[in-house]
Parts: sequence; structure tokens; C-alpha cells
Amino acid sequence: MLQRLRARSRATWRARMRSWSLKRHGPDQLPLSIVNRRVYILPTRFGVFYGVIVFGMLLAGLNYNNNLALALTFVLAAVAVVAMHYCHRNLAGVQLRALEAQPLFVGQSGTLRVELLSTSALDRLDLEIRADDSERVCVSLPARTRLACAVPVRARKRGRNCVARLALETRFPLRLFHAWAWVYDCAEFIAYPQPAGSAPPPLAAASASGRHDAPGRGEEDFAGLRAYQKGDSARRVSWKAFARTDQLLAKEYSGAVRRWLLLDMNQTPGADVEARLSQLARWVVDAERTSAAYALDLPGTHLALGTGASHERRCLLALALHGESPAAATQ
Amino acid sequence: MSSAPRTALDRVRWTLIAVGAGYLPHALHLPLWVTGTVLAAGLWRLLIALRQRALPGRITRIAGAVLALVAVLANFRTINGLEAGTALLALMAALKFLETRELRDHVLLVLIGFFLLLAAMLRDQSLWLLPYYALVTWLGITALCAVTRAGDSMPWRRAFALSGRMLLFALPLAAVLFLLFPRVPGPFWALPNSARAVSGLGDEMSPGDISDLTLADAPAFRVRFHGRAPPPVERYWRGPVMHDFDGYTWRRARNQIYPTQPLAFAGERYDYRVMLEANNRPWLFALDHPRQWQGADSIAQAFDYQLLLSRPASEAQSFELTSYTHTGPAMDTDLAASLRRRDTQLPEGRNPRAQTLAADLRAEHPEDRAYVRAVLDIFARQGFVYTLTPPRLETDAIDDFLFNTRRGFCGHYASAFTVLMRSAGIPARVVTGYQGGVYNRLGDYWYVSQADAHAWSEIWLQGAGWQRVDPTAVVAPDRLERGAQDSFTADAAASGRWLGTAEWLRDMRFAWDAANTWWRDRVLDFDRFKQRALLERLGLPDPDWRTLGVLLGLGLTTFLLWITLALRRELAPRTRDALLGAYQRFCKAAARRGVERRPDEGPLDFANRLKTALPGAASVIDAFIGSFVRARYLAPDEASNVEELWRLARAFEKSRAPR
Repeated sequence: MLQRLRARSRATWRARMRSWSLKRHGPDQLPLSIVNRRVYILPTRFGVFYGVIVFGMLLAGLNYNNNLALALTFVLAAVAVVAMHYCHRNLAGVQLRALEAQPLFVGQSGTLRVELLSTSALDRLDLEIRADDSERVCVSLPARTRLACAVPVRARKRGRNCVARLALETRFPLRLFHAWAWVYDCAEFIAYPQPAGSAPPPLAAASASGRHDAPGRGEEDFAGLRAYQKGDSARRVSWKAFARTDQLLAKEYSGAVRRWLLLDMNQTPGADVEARLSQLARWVVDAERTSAAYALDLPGTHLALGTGASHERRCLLALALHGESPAAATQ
Repeated sequence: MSSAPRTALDRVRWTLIAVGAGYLPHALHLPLWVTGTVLAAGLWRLLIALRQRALPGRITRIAGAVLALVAVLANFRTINGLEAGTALLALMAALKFLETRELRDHVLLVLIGFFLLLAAMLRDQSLWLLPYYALVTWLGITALCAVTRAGDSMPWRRAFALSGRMLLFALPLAAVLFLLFPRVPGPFWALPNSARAVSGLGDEMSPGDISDLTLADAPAFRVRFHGRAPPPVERYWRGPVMHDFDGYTWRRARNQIYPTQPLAFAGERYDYRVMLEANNRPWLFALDHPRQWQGADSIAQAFDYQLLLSRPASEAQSFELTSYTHTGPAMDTDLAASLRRRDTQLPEGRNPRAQTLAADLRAEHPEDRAYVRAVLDIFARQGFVYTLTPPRLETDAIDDFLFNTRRGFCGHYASAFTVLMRSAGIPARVVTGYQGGVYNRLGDYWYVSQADAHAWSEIWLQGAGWQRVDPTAVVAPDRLERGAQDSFTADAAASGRWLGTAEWLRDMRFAWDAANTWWRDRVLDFDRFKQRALLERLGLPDPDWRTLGVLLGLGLTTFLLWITLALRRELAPRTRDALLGAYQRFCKAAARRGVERRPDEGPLDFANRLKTALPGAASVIDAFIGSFVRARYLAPDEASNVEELWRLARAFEKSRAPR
């Protein structure tokens, strides 16, 4: 109960914060420069503790009427003020260049690519980036550089997800202060349905070439090596050859496509749509692993027989966006 | 992550440095076992970090904490006070070493290091320690910088540079705070008395006990006269007054209330400032006779005109005083009977020969002044010698001195003279204090050391009041003159003072003492009175805490504005200016070679025209213009282009190299 209350108050607090900060610095559009008015700063818990300690030192200095002790106290206090400015400056002027995330499966953690750019002659140390409530990623941005970093993101639901808020933070130096900037540029990413289910895949009897083969014969005849092409499955790469020659070569099999599957949503077992989509995702992934060709039939979408990484991506994307507006399918 | 243990080791190292540097000044004062424990714990922790072993268990740590507490209690009998408190803090830091896991523990230890530094400052504020204290402060901030890094560990050079810059930025604000922060009077809680014995004048004086008076050159106090200084023979600095004599030892009057005889001041008026060294005695030394005084502590004057502080001077302090060197004929008051009784008191049956001598002389000279002259005559004529290595005296010290040894220093003469006065019924007492002082040209003050300790007599003459008589002056007139000399030649060896007679050595000593005095006077003694004086000098009449508050606010605002601008200047991307600068330089170089850019000409057109005019430099021109156009129009934020552009502009300049 209490927890729920806390979560709710936190959510309303965040919403209020968001609308307030949006009103302060307008809507966000990348690329975006973290201008001064975007940077918020507050003392950390350690900062408060430091303040208490310095206050204690002040009392001791005043009590003993010891000017040297007072001088130390004032120097420490002034250092904190300077640290506050350093902390604020560490963020101010950083530019956020691009945000993109690779599609990922629900429940799996993926990465959001964030590109940072610093044009000033200032090394920015200990920048921390966080997408929503994910873990922080700590990077240091040297002067006049562009730096890409991968921020972990987690998909909450199937389909289109977005990072509601990106926080760029720093506690450098001394960790006395915590400066941060919020970016509300809704970075979109696709979450594929989580592969699940254990139903056997629906096998079709005909191979792609029209020949008839006994289904289920998994062994394929090795035909030779050819240059690796983008889209080849990693399983096909001849790692032995790679170790020998330093070239990426893909193995070719004479009976490369022995079997094929027609994955039809209407014939997929499952309690509800999501379960069926998960089952379909499982089959797609498995088929790709065993190099089987597959076609996907969804209400409104048909993907022809195919194989390879790009085909897999297309299929999973279709599964992910099932039931959503088709405009995003082009992504 | 392989960098995790490295970071941990790095943190441990910085923490050890911070705490060690803070502890070092205490190592001389605290018992050896405390230092040993701190050292052992530090080394243990370092070893754990190096070998990546496990930290000691909870039981070990709790047992250690209890043991430390018990040991401190057993050693100091308290956990209060600077000494015991510091020991306890250091031991707790040592134990904390053994449970440093997280960042929190490390930063706590660095803060403990600052506390140890603070305790060292409370103990000793000497100027020569200042560089060390500054260094430890820098070290501490650096350690904090290094320890709180979220990312990889910081190279030490870089950490020092960062903290150094931050400290430089912080200093102006610290100075503003130092000058303007309201100082409060008095301590909030009782200060523990440190049990240090400081050499100097005491409650008692028994000259017969001393067979070798070593004159320490330790400072007693320093004096700056606002105006002319009195001549050397009048530089008597009044200290404790001895009333009680048991035949061998003189003692101060304790807890005795007598009426104060009013003084009529005469002669020259002297305004001066006494910068008193810590002596753990509640005494203030003033030029005979003080009339007005002012200082941080409340000052009272005893019935015998000695100035007393409300508490022992456990630290150096300054006082403003006004004195007159002469007391004229006082109002025709008589000495209070109780005081007359006390100051004519002599122990029954002691020093019989002195009593007889006094009686004989008194019979010859019934008039007081004539009697005094007769007694001084004895000292002057009968082979008395002034020496710092007198023989020890028998129980009847005065008899032994007057009739046998006849060798002694100021204490002997003052003592014998006072006894002879009392024997004749003249109220007399021994005044101890200092006489003379050495002038420090560099610092414009007089340096009065323990070697200037002196004793003289005061006698009550009807109609003239209390008058100073210095029998030593009769025996060794140069003893008084000596103070006027800046250097000693013959005397120096005898007194063991100013051992180095070389001029430069003495100058260096003066310079050092002057620096010390400046430090004490201007920095350590900066209190609410001086703060007030400073504000008044700035043209603020009658400043109070509100004035301070306003000034403090102003200072803070100015500082914040300044640091914002200063830091922003570093931040501002100068890319655009730098690009244009490189382009202008390029155009100027072209103009020097006869091709001037027309105002309406863009970079590309200009480049084409330039290439036809200077075909030899075509490749450089292409490269420069290409880079410029890209940097300025295509990828405006690529800061790395700037350096390349400047390099090309310089290359173009050089390409003209005529043969």
C-alpha cells in the first residue's frame, strides 16, 4: 500500500517536474545543446554531510578563537562553492547528437546509442547517462570530441517503446553536488515479442527449390566457403577459417534450404495474441538458427519465404508491430 | 572488470596519504603506541589492497574499537580535550581503515584527515608550520578529487592540477570569509587546559636556589610603540609582585584584597601594543605604570598594579595599552595599615646579620631617602659583583649574600634591598618582570625575551607613594643599558644570547622574527576588534553585525559572478573565431603576395583566382579552402578542424619561400 502510494506520488512528481522543465526550456529536439538553464544542481547526501562537518569545524575554530582553524574551514567551504561551479560547468555546453536504439526482445536489455559532443577545450569527466530508470553509464568526454556511448534500456512492452526521459548527470568533482539535465526527446525503439512457447513448428513438405526431401533431416552437406556478406548468420561464419586467414568466410551448404516453414498466426496455438506472437517469435528465432526458410502470415501482413538476418528482422518487426499502425513497419 | 581492484587500491592509497598527512604533526605529541597503531593499521590495509585479501572480520573490528577506547582512557584518564580527542580520532581512523569498502568509507576517512589537520592547527599555529598545513589541505582536496572519481582512477599529476586550480579559485572567497565572517567573543564550551609548562616568570622567586641562570632566548612578548619608545632605562615591564618572604623565598600575594593606592601619572605618555606569547599564566606585562588597557580578554589590575588576565594566556594574544613612566607625588594619602603591615613583614629570627646592619644604618639615617641611599651605597662600594652564575646560598640567604658571597643577579639584589628596607620599617616589595628589549628594525617592534627577565624593588615613601628602586642598576649599570643596543659583542657570549654574532645571521633572525610577529599580529590575532578597525578604516563608521552581513553578501555575490565568468571563459567554444582567424591569416598572407580578396568574393572564388595567380601553392590553397569550407559550412561543430586549419594557414605562409 505504502509502496504503491510512494510510486504514485513519485509518478505525479515526475510528471509535474517534466511539465515544469518543459515549460522552462521548451520542447526538446535533437541535436540539442545542454544550455545553462537546462542544468539543475543540488547537493548530494555527501555534500550535506560535508557541510555539517565544515560547520563543526567552524564551531571549533570560533570556540578556540583559532584563526588558522577558521581559515581551513573557510577554505573548505569555498572549495565546495567552487566545486559547485565546476560541477555545473561539467555539463553545460555538452551537445547531444543522436539517439538510436537497436530493436530488442521484450525482457531483454538493449542499448540506446547516445552521441555526445564537446566543442570546448574542456575535458568533461565522469558524465553519467541514464535512460529512464536504467543503470547509469559513466563516460568521460575529452575536449573537442564526439563520443558514442551505449546506455542500457529495457523494453516494457512489445512494439514501439520509447525512452521518456534521458538524464545526463554528473557529480564531478568531489561528489559534493549533483548536476543533471533532462532531455525529453522521445527516443523510439522496437521491442520484439519475447520468444516463448514450446509448440512444434509447422513444417511444410516442399523445399524452396521444389525438390522433395524427407523432412527433419537436419544434416546438410558442406559445399565450400565464400566471402562473408552482410546478413549472413553468425552461425555460418567459418570461425576456423577466420582464425587461420583473418578473413570472414561463410560456409555454404549444398542443401542449404532443406526445409521451410509457413508460420501462420491463425494456426498458431496460444492463449491470447501475445502468447501466439511469442510462439511465432520463438519459431522465427529457431528457424533462423537451424537455417530453415520461413514465411510469415499475420492478419494484414504477409512476408514471403526467406532466410537470413534481414529476413528475420523483418519478420520480428512485423510481429512486434502487430496490431499497431502499419506506418512504423517501414522502420 | 580488471580495473576494479586498481581503482580500489588507488582509493586506499589516497586515503592513507590524506589521513597520514593529517596525523603527522601529532606524531610528536601523542604517545608512541597511538602512532604505532595508526601506522600498523595503514600498512595492513595497504597490504590487503595489494594482495586483494579479505578485510578483517567484524569481531576483530569491534574488539579493536573497544580496546582503543580503553587504551585512550587508561592513558589520558579522559576522552575529552585536544590530546585525548585527537588520539581517539586517530585510532578510530586506523580502525576505519580496516573496513574501507565503499566510496563512503573513503570519503569519511579523508574528512577525518581534515579533522586531524584542524586539531594540529589548534595545537600549534606557528608560521613555520604554515607551508605544511597548506600542503596537507591541498593533499586532502586532491585525495577527495581522486577518491570520488566515478570512472577510472585519475593520474596523480592531473588530480593535483585539478585540486590546485580549485583551491586557487577558492582562496579569494576564503579570504573574504576570513575577513568578514562575524567573530564571536569567548568560547562556547570550556577549553581544556593544556598542561604544558612554559618557561617564564613564576609565582615565586628564590634567588639563592639558582646557581646557574641560563638565559633562554625564548620570546616573552613583543611591543610596538605607537610613537616614540621610552629610553632603555625606563623600559621596565611590570609583572608579578612579591610580598611574602620566608627568609629564603619570595611569593606573590594570593587572594588578598587590599585597597589600591591611587597613582598620579606624570612624565611622558606611551601608547603601545603588547603581543604576549602563550605562557599559561594570567599575567600581562605592561610598561611601568600602565594607565589604560584593552584586549580580547578582560583585564583587571591588582592592588599592586599588576595587570591580570581573566584566564591564563594559553595562546598568544595582543593588547593595547597606555602607560606613563613616572608616577608623580600621589595625593597625600597614607598607605593602608593592612598593606603596610604586609609589606614590612619579615620572618622572625631569620637573617639576623641583615637585621643588625639595617638597625645600625637606620640609626645613622633616620630619614627614609638618606637610608635608601646608604643601602645602595653598600651595593656600590662593598665589592658586589653582578653575575649569572652565583654560588648557592645558605638558609639565611640574605645574610649569606650580603656578608659572604656578594655575587648575584637582579633577584639577589632586589631581594636583599627589599629585606633591608623592611628591616628599617619602610614598606617594600619585590617586583618581577622584564627590563629592556631588542629593537627589530624590520618589524618595527621591540622583542622582549625571557633573557630580559628582571627583578627590582618598590618602596613606599611618604609623600611620593610607591617608587621604583633598582639596586641592580647600582651594581651593573650596563645591565639596563644593554637593552638599548641592537647587537651585543662582549655580552653576547656571556649571556648565551644571539649566539651567531655574524651580521647576516642576526638579520635573518630579525627577519624571521618579524615575519612571525606579522603572522601573529595580523593573522592569528585577527579578532572582532581588528575586524572593526578594518571596517572603520574602510570608511564604515560604527560597523556591527549587519554591516558584516551586507559586506559578506556583497563579497559572495562578487565572487560568484567572477567565478562564473572565469569558468565560462574556459567553456566557450572559440571554434568559430578560430576558424575566421585562420581564414584572415590566410587572406593576409595572400595579400602580401599580391592577391587581395575582394569584399564580395567568397572563399571558393577567391581560391580559384589565387590558384591561377600562384600555381605553385595550388595544393596548399586547395587543402586550406577545402578544410575551411567544410569546417565553416558543412560540419560547423567539428572542433578538431581548427588545429588542422591553422596548420594549413601556416603552411600556406611558408609555401611562399622565395628562392
